[in-house]
Parts: sequence; structure tokens; C-alpha cells
Amino acid sequence: MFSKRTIREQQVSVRIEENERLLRETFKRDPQVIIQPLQVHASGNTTKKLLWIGIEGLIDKDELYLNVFTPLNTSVFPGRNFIQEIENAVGVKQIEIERQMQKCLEHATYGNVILFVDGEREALVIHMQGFAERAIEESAWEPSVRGSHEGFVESITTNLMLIRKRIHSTDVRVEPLFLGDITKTQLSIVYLESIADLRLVQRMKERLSKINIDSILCSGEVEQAIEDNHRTLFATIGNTERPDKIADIVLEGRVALLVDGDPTALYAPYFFIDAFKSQEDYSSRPYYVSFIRLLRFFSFVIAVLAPAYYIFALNFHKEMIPTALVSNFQRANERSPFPTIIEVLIMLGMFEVVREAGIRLPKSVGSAVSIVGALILGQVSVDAGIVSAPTIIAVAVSIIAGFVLTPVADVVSLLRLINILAAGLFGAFGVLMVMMTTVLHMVSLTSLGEPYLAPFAPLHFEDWKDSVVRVGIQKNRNRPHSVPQRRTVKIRHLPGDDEQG
Amino acid sequence: MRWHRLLQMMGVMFIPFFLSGCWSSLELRNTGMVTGIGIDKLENGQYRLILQLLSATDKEGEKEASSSPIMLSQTGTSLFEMERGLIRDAKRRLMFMHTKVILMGESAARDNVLWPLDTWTRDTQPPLNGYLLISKEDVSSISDTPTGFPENPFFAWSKGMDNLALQRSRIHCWTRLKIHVKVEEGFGC
Repeated sequence: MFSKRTIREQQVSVRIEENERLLRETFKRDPQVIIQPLQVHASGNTTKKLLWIGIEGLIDKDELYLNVFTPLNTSVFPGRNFIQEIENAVGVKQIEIERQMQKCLEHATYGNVILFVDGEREALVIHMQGFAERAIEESAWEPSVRGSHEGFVESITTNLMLIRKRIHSTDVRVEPLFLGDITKTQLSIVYLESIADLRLVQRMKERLSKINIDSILCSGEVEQAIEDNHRTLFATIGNTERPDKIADIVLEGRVALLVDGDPTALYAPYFFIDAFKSQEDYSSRPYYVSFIRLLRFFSFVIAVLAPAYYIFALNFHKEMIPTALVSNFQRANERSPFPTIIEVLIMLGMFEVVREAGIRLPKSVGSAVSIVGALILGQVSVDAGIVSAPTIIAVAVSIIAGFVLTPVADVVSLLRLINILAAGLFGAFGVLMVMMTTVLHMVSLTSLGEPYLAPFAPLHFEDWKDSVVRVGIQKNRNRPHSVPQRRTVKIRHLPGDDEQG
Repeated sequence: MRWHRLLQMMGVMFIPFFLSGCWSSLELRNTGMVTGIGIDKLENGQYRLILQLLSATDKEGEKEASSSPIMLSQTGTSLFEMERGLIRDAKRRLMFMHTKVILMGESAARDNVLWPLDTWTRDTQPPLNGYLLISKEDVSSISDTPTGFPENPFFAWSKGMDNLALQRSRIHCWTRLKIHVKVEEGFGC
């Protein structure tokens, strides 16, 4: 009877032997899957057959023996309604009753224990997850000096806890959904109902609902599936590993998306200006933060343009070189066998190789790679006359400036390369064209339907208070206008307000 | 209609690419950077053009910039003739964008102060903030005058003029841009 019908259509059988046979057929001889019969005392000195299934490593065995098996062994069940009686006896609060065999098996793969009862058409799903997970520690990509040091982990339950721990509000909405036909990965949309514009939430849900995929293993896959424009260098969905940042994002009215198995949370809308902001900015005083933000913008320009500027100044517009430097530049150039653009490309290529090697190798070997890289790239290549010293300076300045902006590091690397090629082919004019095209392209981008270059285009002048510079909270009491939301005012009263009258 | 506009726009954007391209690219090692120009009048309507170039040759083991600039000299009746001769001597493309001083011998200046300036201001290369100096003696006799500072004399004169202009506003300190304007106005100073 079972073999003729697929397991999808299968109901839980009344006969416990049938259920057992089906389970054993499904999981073959998987040593991790525990399928064990049980007996409990029923009234009239009789026994009742039970069967439980769980996956070793995913279930919390201690809790299972303490709160499930011990009460089952010590109780006597009258047998009027076995399912209800067992549910009452078991010391676990989260229990579901399931009739579909397929659903039961899915529950087992999530780390729940399924209890079949002989003579019943229903099975009990006892939530008993207990798998090992990484401890909460600071994110390696987004460390902070001041402020929270907690980072997301791979478990979505822990991550949601980290967010709820920061927002004690009944308005927090967590909407779970499952993606991936095979992996059935859990995702959670998080937003604040009283603040978020529900159209944003709707857009996010619509896009997620259109995904039909076999597997989701990381948030990057979801990000690429739901972003507005697939053919752009710029990321239009933000990501972070910091719970405090996600709490802030949600409080601004944006929508966050957590993916089980990945410590990186996604959020949208994401604006270009967000790359220049850091969560720590809000813990520091505004003056220094403004200075640092200006420095970040300056670094972005330097990172993208320095090598290109160097090439077009040397090859096309020699009047741009300070007269005092011409002699030194010329002497360095005399010793180099390659055209300037080739020199720059060699240096950039070598740097990218060293960086990639440094990231992928174990830390102990990684530092050796950087020493060799620094020696070969810096000292020896100049002494050997392969590249000139000013080229190394131009490239190194650009790369160090690029390190300031980790959220857009990939964009910076590619824009830098495009600008170098444009500078080598067309000089300053080429670079100007590339920059104009880039800005035009950025203006056309949207993130979850909202303009990517906000608050600059479209102009939300009010939001400039927290963009290139950050003014104090006394002067900036509203949520950003760039994000559509339902509650504009953030700060209603501050200590100094009464004195001002 | 929309495509038509787009094509038009792309066409307009594409045309200026011919103004600049890799054919305009010139490596520094293939250039001779002129820092000073000297003009002397000789007999028989002949002129002598002296160019001072930044020295970029790197002597073995020498870290500091070389203090002895390269001097090139050529005689002829027209500037272009002399320049062509100088390129033959230098074997490099001569660049005038860092020229600080044009020094004329008195006899050449009395003869015609405008024609060399006219030639250069029509060119796009030279900066218009170099100084025009006129010397009583021949340029060839003073262009290697030691200045007491380890740099070439043309730079020293240029800086000297900057300082004089700062200190004494009564001195008519004209850069070539100003002279060019004066030429346009008919020199009525």
C-alpha cells in the first residue's frame, strides 16, 4: 500500500508497524536517524506501543530523556484520548499534532522528535532542537571600539533573540518563510509595524515569494535574487553582522531579512551613503564623526581616482605635475622598462594576489605572505627596476584609502581598474567620462524601489544632517526621509528644550 | 523617437573621444622638460636659442636630484627652425609646460621683443606664468651663473622675481600672461 503512493500524499497510519516500515524505507540505513519503539503503561495493566524518530546531533538528548521519556515511563495513561494524554504528560511546551507523514519527516530534519502512537492517525511533533552552535562573538568585519560587541551567529533563533533583546516592543514583526525545495532554509523578515511603510514589506515579500530554488545556503544568494538591478557593480541590498545595526535599521523603518545558517543579515532599502556610515558613529560625539565621515568620502575619491590621476598626469597632462616633482618623476620613469599604465596594472594585480592569498591562508602563514608581499612589492621591485617608486606610492595610497571603506571595497576595486584603463587610453577626459557615467548609473539605481543616491538625488535636505557630516541629536530629531516610514519624529523632548523656551 | 535621441546623445558623447586618445600619451622618459629659454641675437639676422632641460639621467649610486641641468643651443633665423634643430640634438620631445623664465639678451629684445612671445603664446604648451627677463649681457654668458643655491639658475631667477614682486610693487613684474594681454592691447603701458 505504501509503495504505490508517494510519501507526499501519505497520512500517518493507524498501524504503528506501517509507520515504522515507511520511516525505515525513507531513511534507509542512515546511522544518524534514530527510529526506536517504546511502550507506555495504559489502564488495565496493558501497554501501548509508541515509536519515536529523531536525528542524532540535532536533538537535545538530555532534555528528551528528562522531559519526555521519564514522564512517559512513569505515567499510566487511561487511554481515552492517547494523543492528548501524552501531550499533557510530556514536559515540553512546544508540541504540534501532525497528520501528514511528509510534514512529520520534515520536522524530524529540523531537529524535532516525532512520536507515533499505535492506533492513532496523528503524530506528536515535540520541539527538541539542540544542535551545537557558535558562541556570540564580535564580527571580524565590523568590529567596534565603543558600543556593542555582539555579532550574529549562524542560528536564526539566536539572531532573532539578539534583535528582540534590543527592541522590547510588541510592534516587532518577525515573519518566517522557507526557501529552497531541498534545503528548506528558514528566512525571517523583520520590521516594526508601527514605523515601517508596509509597501516596503510587501515588496520584499513579493520578491521572496517569486523565488523557486533548490537550495539557499547563504544570504548572498537571497541578496542576488531580490536586488533591484542585477547588472550593477553596486550592492543595493545592505548587509551586516551586527545586531545593534539591524535594530537601528528596523527602527528607521527599513526591512531586515535574516537567513538561517548565515551570520550576515540583509536589509533594504540600502543607500550609497550607508557605506560611509558606521554604527559606532552614533556612539561618538558629532564633531569627530563628521571629520571621520569627510575623511571616508575623501578616501573614496582617492581610492578610486589616485592611480588614474597619476597615469593621466604623467602621460597626458604633464603640466599637472608640480614642477619640483618633475625631475624626480622623470628619473624614476627613466629606470622603468614598462609604460606607466602597465606598471600600475602590475602593482595592482600583485596586490590583489597578495590580499587574496592573505585572506585564504591560515593566519600564521598569512602574515608571512604579507611580509613577502610588502618586501617584493615595495622594496625589491623598485631596486630591480621593474616598477618606479612613485607608481608604488600612487597605488599604495589608493589601496590604503580603499581599506577605509569595507562595505564598498569590491566597487572601489573595480572602479579603480576601469578608471586606470580610461586614464591610460583617453587621459583625464576618459576618467571624466567614466565618472559621469558612473554617477548617471548610480542615479538610476533603486533599492527595494527607493532611490539609491538618496538623500542627494532625490534631494532630502533634512537627511543631510546625518550623511556627509552628522549633527548632534538636538538638531536631528527625525527619522530619515529617504526611507518611507509612518512615524517621522524620533526624539520628542530633550533636557535643554525647556530652557530654550 | 527615444532611440533616435539616444543615438544622437551617444554620437555627441563619442565624438570628443577623438580629441584625446592613446596617441596623445607620452611617457616622461621620452620627453625633455624645458625649464628655461634664452634668446640671443647674433649677427646677420641670426638668433641663438638656448634651452635648459631638467636633467633626469640617474648616475650610479646617486640618490639626490642632479644639480647640473642640460643646456641645448641652436642658431637659426626662425624659432621653428631652431626648435627643430634642438629636437634633433635632444632626441626627445621637448615640453615647455614647466618653463619658468624666458631670458632675452638686450640686443634681441631691442630688435623685437614680441615675436618669440607671440610664437609661444599661440602654442598650447607653455604656461603663461613664466617670467620674461631681459639681460644686458648675452644669455649664453649668464645662463650658467651660479646662484648660491643647489638648483638651476632659471628656477632661482623665477623665485627671485616672485619675491621681488611681493616686496616691491613698483617694479613692473610681468608674467607672460600679462605681456600677452599688453600685446593684445597694443602695449600702451
